[in-house]
Amino acid sequence: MKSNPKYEISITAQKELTDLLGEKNVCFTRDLLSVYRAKPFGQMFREAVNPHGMVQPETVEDVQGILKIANKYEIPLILAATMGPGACLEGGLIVDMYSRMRKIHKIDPECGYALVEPGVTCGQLLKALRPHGCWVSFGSYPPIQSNLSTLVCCRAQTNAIGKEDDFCRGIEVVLPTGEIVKTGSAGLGYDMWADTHGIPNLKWLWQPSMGTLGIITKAAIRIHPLGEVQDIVIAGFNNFDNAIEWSHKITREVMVNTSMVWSYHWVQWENYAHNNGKGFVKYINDMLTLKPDEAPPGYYPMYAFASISGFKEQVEGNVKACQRLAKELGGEIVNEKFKEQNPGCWNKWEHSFLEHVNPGMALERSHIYGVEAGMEAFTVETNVRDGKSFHHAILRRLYEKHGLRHVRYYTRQLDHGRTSFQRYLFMHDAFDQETLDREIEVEEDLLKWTSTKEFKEQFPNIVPFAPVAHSSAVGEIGKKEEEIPVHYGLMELDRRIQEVLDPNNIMDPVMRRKEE
Amino acid sequence: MKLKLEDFDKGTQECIRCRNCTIGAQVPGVPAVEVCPFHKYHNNNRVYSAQSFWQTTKSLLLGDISLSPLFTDLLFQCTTCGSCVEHCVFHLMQNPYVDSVKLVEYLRSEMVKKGFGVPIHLKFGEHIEKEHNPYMELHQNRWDWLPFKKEKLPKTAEYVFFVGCTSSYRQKQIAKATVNILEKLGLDYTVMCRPGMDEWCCGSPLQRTGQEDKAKTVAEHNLEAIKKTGAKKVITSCSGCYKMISKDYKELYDLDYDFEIVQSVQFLLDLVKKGELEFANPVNMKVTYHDPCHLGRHMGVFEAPRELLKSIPGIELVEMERNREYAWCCGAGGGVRAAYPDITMFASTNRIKEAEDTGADALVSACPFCWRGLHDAIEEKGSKLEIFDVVELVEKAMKNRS
Repeated sequence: MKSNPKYEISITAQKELTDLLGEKNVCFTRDLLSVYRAKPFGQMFREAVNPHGMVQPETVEDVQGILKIANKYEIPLILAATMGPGACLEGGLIVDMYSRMRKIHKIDPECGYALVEPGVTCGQLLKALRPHGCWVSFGSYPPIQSNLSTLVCCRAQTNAIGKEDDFCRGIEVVLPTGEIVKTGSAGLGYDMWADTHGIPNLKWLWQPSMGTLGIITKAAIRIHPLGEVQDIVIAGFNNFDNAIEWSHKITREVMVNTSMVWSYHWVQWENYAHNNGKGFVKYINDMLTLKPDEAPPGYYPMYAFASISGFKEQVEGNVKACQRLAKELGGEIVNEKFKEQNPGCWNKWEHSFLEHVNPGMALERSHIYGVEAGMEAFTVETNVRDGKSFHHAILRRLYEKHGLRHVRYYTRQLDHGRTSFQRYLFMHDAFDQETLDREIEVEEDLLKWTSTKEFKEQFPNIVPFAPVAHSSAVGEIGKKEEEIPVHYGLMELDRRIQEVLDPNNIMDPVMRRKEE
Repeated sequence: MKLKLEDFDKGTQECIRCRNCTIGAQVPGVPAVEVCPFHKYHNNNRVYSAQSFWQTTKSLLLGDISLSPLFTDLLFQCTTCGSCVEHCVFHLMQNPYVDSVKLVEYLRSEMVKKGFGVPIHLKFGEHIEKEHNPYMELHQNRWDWLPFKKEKLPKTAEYVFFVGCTSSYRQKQIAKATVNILEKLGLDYTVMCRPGMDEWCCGSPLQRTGQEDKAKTVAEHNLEAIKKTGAKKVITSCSGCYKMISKDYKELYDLDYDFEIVQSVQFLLDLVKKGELEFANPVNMKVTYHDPCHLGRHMGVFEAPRELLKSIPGIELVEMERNREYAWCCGAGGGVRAAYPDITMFASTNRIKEAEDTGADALVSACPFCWRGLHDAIEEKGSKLEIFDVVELVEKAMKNRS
């Protein structure tokens, strides 16, 4: 197993960590640590190696102790949450934040937050919130997923079933040197966890990651009242531009919880995935004859939907407004027809939007495809105007350069319509290595395309999702860190902050060395 | 069918390390309960989990690691209870590739082939070859529990009671109760206790601990011996024997037979339904039922023992939080009790606490091996719970029947 010998953990350091945490909470037998090797996606597993050790803290004091020892011996750390760590490219010490840090410290419905440790799962928190008449945003992840690792650290990916894109009111973080810092009002010694106007909001220094500038040990996750009434409006559109326009307009008016646009292909994919594979054969047959962005008779190529909750009168009014607007944009309300045509997809939406129960089925499509299917996606953040032109450009490129006719995609409106989040998945049946390799090839081509000077001139408002600072160790897209344009002033500042907070470079060693 | 490492490749791709197999599937319709005894024993350490089996296999397939004694604890501390399989997202979708029990048994057999078996398992393996039981007892003492001379039993019969090693040498009261019931019912039955027609260990302890070649040998002997009795139906009181003969003999060793095999609870419930078994004495007791893994999860027999218990007058059956396919394992199976008694005690103590929480007077199971593990925990914990096998309660209810 190749790895960087620099990352070996000395016997003395192993002993200190064992004394700190107890024998059951450490493992330094490298052969046994395949389970911590990488994120669940097969491609990354192949690039990664087993870590050199694993520790699982239970308290913030444990985390402090780990960081002090890691600093003393300059042991590189990799944070792990629900579904494995980021890419463990050269080895290091895994800090498993999920296994034992599973306490919900506080649920405050009035202030609208729950204070949780990194291992608290979405299912656990949803269940705990129910008696308080509240719910928490969640994404297309199974309910076993940690709230903190998804909502706080991969925020933009996980607001599919949410109300906003800032999920967090404040955090407690242990700095690489072992000191504890709390952000917002909690950092000023108050019991209430909130952003305050009097001091800089430092939570964003750590929030897109669990552990590149420190280790987050608590997060005040935003929670919401369940509402008196829940409803969904589903509108069918014949083109992308009108569908996203509808979604954008209703989101901008702050009248819906979530609004998304799903392509016909995405709907079908979710439909059979959530319905034991039923509908798969019909869909595949339809694809053989469909032109790009076309749907079979009786279906729409684009479905836009909105989930709405609140007081009865408010919901009724908002539903009416959504219906009127859909009509004005050439769409049609298709709730009943949609349920009949797409029972699996509806099942997911019903659970997610009406019952606020995480259906946990986003991964179950693997019974047909294998879990690696469709995991390689290309995502951008933009605005609606530029998002429309980019959408047509990327579909054209995928067709002309890669021969991909039927790309599935969805969009979400972040920050009440200020940002349009657009995600594209290329393959429909990527369960073999050849297809997976092709999928990666397409993704890499798109990354190259979007980083060219010509692209940036043509699309100055398109930000590919990959280059996110601090995400290299644990972020959803950890392996893309080399794509970060380090010459930008922002990244230079980021590097300086890292040097101050993490003088021994234990938190993100792979990334830092590349910059050196 | 002989398995190869490559047979598990698909499963390694599907395991996404979501941890449903360890701390509980929190999906609709599945209780969010703790799942894995050996994972919990290790303080929820992810290294000791079903997902670790799959990821280790992935590394083995890539050739990055190879099996060595370093893997002994990981691979042999699992009780092979299969709770992880029930909770697996992919299993819930009826995906056949994620059978962690099959995987761990395969990896154990590879460990044994490479000379990395657990010494105590190998020792009882040798004893099974010699004396046909894993308890270091003499074969000639196997029928000591019989309440009458073995010669009284016919050589051939319609029903054959396959006693199993645990009931023969340890929990003899279960064997006795079963024979007493058969006697009282006046059935044409026998017990395999004649030279050449004698019962050997069913092979389950061998199969579970990676000694499949030896297991196949005893399987072949047992089938021959059963065939000589002309049995139409074989009754086992041990759930391990039941799974082994009814499933593993066929699926793992490609052995075939034409008799029917039933666990005693299925057999007795059938008689109750036909009106051939009636209860005269009420057994006034509030009981809770522990699903043996080999009978429940592995064979899908969940309702028969419950229906049988409910048919006994006076019995009030209450359920533990983790029941049926989500039942918590007693911790004794998979060779764990022999090699890692602390894990068994940990798991069974956990189960006793759950049983006590129901307010039951007694804990009932349908497996002598579960009985042993749970009984030890009751003693260790000083619990007031009584413990019975279902057949013991059936016998109680039948007593004094003319």
